[in-house]
Amino acid sequence: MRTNAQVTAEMTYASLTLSPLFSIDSHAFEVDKYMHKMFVEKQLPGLVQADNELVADIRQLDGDMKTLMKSNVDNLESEMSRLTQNIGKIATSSSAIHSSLGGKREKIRQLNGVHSLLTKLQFVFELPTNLHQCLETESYTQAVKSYCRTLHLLQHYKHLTVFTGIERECKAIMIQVAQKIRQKMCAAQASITEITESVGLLLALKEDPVALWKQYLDLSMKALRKVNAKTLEDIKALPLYSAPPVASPKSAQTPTPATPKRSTKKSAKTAATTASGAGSAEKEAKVKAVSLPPTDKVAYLNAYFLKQFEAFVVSFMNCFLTPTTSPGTPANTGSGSGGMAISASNEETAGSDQRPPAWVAKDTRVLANLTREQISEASTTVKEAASNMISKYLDTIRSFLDYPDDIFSIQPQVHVHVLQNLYLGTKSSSGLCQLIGFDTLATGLIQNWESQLIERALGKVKQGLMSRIVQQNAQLAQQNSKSATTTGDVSLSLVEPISNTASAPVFGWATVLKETTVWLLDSFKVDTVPFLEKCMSSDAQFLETTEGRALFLKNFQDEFKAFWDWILKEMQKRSSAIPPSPPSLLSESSESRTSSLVMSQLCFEFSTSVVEQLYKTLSKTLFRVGKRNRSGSFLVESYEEPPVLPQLQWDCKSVIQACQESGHTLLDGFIARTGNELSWLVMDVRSETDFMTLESPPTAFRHGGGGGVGGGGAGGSHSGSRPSHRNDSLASFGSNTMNSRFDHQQRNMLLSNIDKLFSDRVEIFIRCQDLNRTGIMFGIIKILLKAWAESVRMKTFGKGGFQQIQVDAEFAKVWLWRFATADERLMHSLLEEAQQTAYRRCIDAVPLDIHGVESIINSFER
Amino acid sequence: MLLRPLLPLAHAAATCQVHLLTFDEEFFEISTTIFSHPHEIWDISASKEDPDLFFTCYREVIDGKKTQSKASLWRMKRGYQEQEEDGVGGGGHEGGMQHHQPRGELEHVLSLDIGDGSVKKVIWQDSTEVISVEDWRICIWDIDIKQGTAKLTGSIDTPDKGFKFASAVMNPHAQEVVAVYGRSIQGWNLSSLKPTFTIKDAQPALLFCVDYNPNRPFQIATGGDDCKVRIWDVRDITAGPIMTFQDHTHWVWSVAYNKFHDQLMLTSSSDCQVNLQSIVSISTGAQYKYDGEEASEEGERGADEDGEQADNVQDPPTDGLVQAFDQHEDSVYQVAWSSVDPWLFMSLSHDGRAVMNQVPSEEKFKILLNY
Repeated sequence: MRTNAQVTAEMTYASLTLSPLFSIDSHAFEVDKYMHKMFVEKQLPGLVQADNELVADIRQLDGDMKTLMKSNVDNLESEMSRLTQNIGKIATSSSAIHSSLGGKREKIRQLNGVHSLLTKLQFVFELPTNLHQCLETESYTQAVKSYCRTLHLLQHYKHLTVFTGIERECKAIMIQVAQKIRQKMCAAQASITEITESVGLLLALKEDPVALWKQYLDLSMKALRKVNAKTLEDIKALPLYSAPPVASPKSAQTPTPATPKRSTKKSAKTAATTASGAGSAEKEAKVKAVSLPPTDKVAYLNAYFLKQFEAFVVSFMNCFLTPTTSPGTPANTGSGSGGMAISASNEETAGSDQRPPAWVAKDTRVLANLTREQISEASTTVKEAASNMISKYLDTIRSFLDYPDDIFSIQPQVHVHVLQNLYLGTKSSSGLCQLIGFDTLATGLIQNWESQLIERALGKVKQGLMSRIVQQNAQLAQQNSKSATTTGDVSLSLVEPISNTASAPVFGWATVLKETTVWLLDSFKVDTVPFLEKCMSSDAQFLETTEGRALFLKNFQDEFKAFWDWILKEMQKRSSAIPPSPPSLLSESSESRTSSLVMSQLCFEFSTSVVEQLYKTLSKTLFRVGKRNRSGSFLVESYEEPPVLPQLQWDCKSVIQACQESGHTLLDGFIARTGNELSWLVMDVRSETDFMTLESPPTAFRHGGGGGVGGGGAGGSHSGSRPSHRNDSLASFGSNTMNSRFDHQQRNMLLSNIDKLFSDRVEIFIRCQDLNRTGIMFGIIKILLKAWAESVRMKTFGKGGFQQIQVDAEFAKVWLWRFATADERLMHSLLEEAQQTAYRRCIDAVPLDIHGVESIINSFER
Repeated sequence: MLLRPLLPLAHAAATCQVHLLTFDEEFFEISTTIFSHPHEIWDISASKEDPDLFFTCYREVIDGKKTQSKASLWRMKRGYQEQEEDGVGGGGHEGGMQHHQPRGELEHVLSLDIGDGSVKKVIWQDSTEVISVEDWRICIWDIDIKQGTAKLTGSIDTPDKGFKFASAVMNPHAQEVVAVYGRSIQGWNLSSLKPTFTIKDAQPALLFCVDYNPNRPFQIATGGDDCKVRIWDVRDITAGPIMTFQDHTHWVWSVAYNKFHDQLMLTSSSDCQVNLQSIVSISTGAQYKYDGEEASEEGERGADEDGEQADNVQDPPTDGLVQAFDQHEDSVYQVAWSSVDPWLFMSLSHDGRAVMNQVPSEEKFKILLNY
């Protein structure tokens, strides 16, 4: 509503407001620009005038507004009072209508109640007929349902004869129904589903639960056995493993289950349920399961046998094993079974028809009212039965996993697939897991498979290693016996290998050892580790979880350690099983003797590098932390060696230690055995020769065999490098002459006793500390000389006998000094001891003089 | 009290002696009576019934040409009677101390007719029957001390012609002799002379000595040139030794069970050591061991008895080396327990030194308090 003042004001400013920017009423009016324009365009009087105009306008507007307000308010008041009057009228008339209709409404409600009662009564009265009908049409479920619904009503109005009659009639019919159900249940071709349904119905009819569960169990087991047999029959034709994505055309041709009853429809259904059961499974697995019927044995078995079994177990548990609640709290019954029912229905495979229908559980408390004892009895029995069944199932699975001798020839993906199915089976059978720990059993089987796998893989390496060692020994022995026969010196074969160990001039012992270790490393790198890696890297869920993986690795770690233990034990066993050879067969036995030397060296080799290297390889491959690269990148050697993982370090150290230990043991065994064999040689010579009557050694002649240092081992092979040292060694002894050494016997005894008192105790059979040729040879020589000294004590000598000992001792000095560099004094003192003893045990001792002895020895060398 | 014979070694040319060592517990001193013996003695064994009688095995040099091994029974003729006799030891040469020591005479009673090879030892059965162990046979003799006669009643030849008999021992529980030869152990029934058991190639080395557990049937101990002592149960020979221990560094020449506590075993070796071993876990003492209540009761009683040890309850004895005695400076060839005092033993080494030792008192208490 535009006032005149406004219009005039507009008119006033219209002259100077050409654009809407400067029109005071326009939306685009801008104060600043307007003011600016005013300041620019107008003189002071003009501005004052504009101001006055504005003030006058404002006043005008104010006055206008006030008048307008007044007139409007007056209008409003009169309108409102009219409205109030009208509303009052409406209220009165409406209450009048309400009161007039009230009576009729009440009547209608009453009539309604009567009607529903009548309907119910009608139902009750018609019940016998209905039940009859149901009986005839074999819809027992409907019958039981109706009966159960009315049961409480009938119970409530027992006092009315009409109802009693109906109840009696119904009961009679229901007994028939129950019989029919029982017949159906006991029928030979009844499936688990039917049996379960029947049992649910019978339970609703308040049959005796104890007898019922027994029968149920019995029948179900029978049925399951049948199913099992049938499934096993069916899966014979199925492959153990079919690659899911590519094999789809092939799988279409695979024979579908022979029974028409559960043909495609059913299989599709079960396949679908497989998918739903394995809801947590990977998507691809789901896709596969949905799109294809199970094409391999285990999946088929799972779908047709395990599912049913599981269904049985779940329903049995629901019906009989849920703890009974006190009758006062019916709500508990629902919730008590509810927890399980929900969990079961999630997993539930063949649909709700396998459990007693929901209405049964709700309305009639279908749960059998078993006492605690009865429940425990039932649960033990069913557990037993289920365990039997499951163990059969697991046996079947187990039979699919074969372990050929050549473990590397098996296809890991087949095994993994089988186990994967098993794993999925356990995932989808929570009832079985709950009842008899199916998952534990399955995990046990899986672990067993793992350890079998590892054990066999390692066992193969074990075999290889051992056969390699044996073979090499045989080769070496051949080599040795050849060289021995060519030189015609028996004792040579003994010395040769030892010297070869160090210098390796003819046949490379070092090379052999190296070959063996390289072979071992390679066989791990190329065969064992990749094989296990392959097993691990497949899409198996049971290995996917961290515990599964950790378990596998732990398994492997333990087995690997056991592998070393076995190897070391086996070596020691082999070494100790070597029969001590009679001295006459020295050359033939050299093979077995040296083998322990080889094995000892191998052990040391292991301890220095091989073990650590292997553990490093493992750290790099199997035990690598984080997601494994499926492409098998472990073959790509990284340049820097990764350190051994912390969890392997302890193992690694202890294995290295064990290797070292057994290396020592083997070496000591070798030394002791060789020493003993040589000792016996010496002792035999002593006992066969009668030193009482032995002639003096002829000074000018060649010194013959009988009295020679038989096992001296020096032979003639070293004559080329005959030491010029000899004279010194003799001279060092002959600080006094040979004769005078034995002359003052009493004084000598005293001196030697004093010597013994202050010298260190000589330990003959001790751990060889110097792991080289000198150390080993010195160990043997110690044993030999001590044995000689001991055996001299047992004899009585004549003149010639004693002189023979003298020559022997000198001879030994000449030939043995090169091996006794470790402790030459000990060698001399042992030889001296033997001579002294012989002197004391000689009846008429006439020692040879030093020149005599020397000439004998020289003559021999010539 | 007679110690078992000790292996004497003597200078072949010198006159040999038998020393009767008498140990007086009160004054803790040993006195010696010397008897001269015509030849070098290799073994000596005293009669259980008559302390004056003993057999010696010796070698006689004939014409300076060859040796003949012999075994003879001797009777000691002493100047005076000892109140307490403690031992018979064989000895070689002694220094110039002979004027301090009483001397006696040996009376030759009888000799056994030894065949080829040397006689190793003579075992007394009773006063009328002895067994001689020779290189190639074991003979049973009936002897009549009064008449001075010996009659051969039976002999066992070595089963393996390659190995001589090294030693033999009587089974104290039955009429059985157990001998070692080469690497094998074999037992014979004395009346039927049939083998009772054989452990062929019992160890990879030669066997030197054998002893039979005096309290526990079927248990024997052997030692040999692989430094190890092995204990066998002859009922189950395929199972291998029931215990093996190696605390010596050279050949084991002698093993001896303690007659009273068969958990104690002495071994002597040519590494100059005598070792006292405890083998309680397989001894008759084992059944008392760790017998919870009884043991603790005993422990308390023991603690009550000697108050100063109240806070020092004894642990039960355990397997292992109890003590190594290293007083010898040469190979120790014989070791023997006293037949009277359960804690006393003597060892004899090649240099003619005889050392008498006792079981350490700690071990003694352990055994006593845990019974």
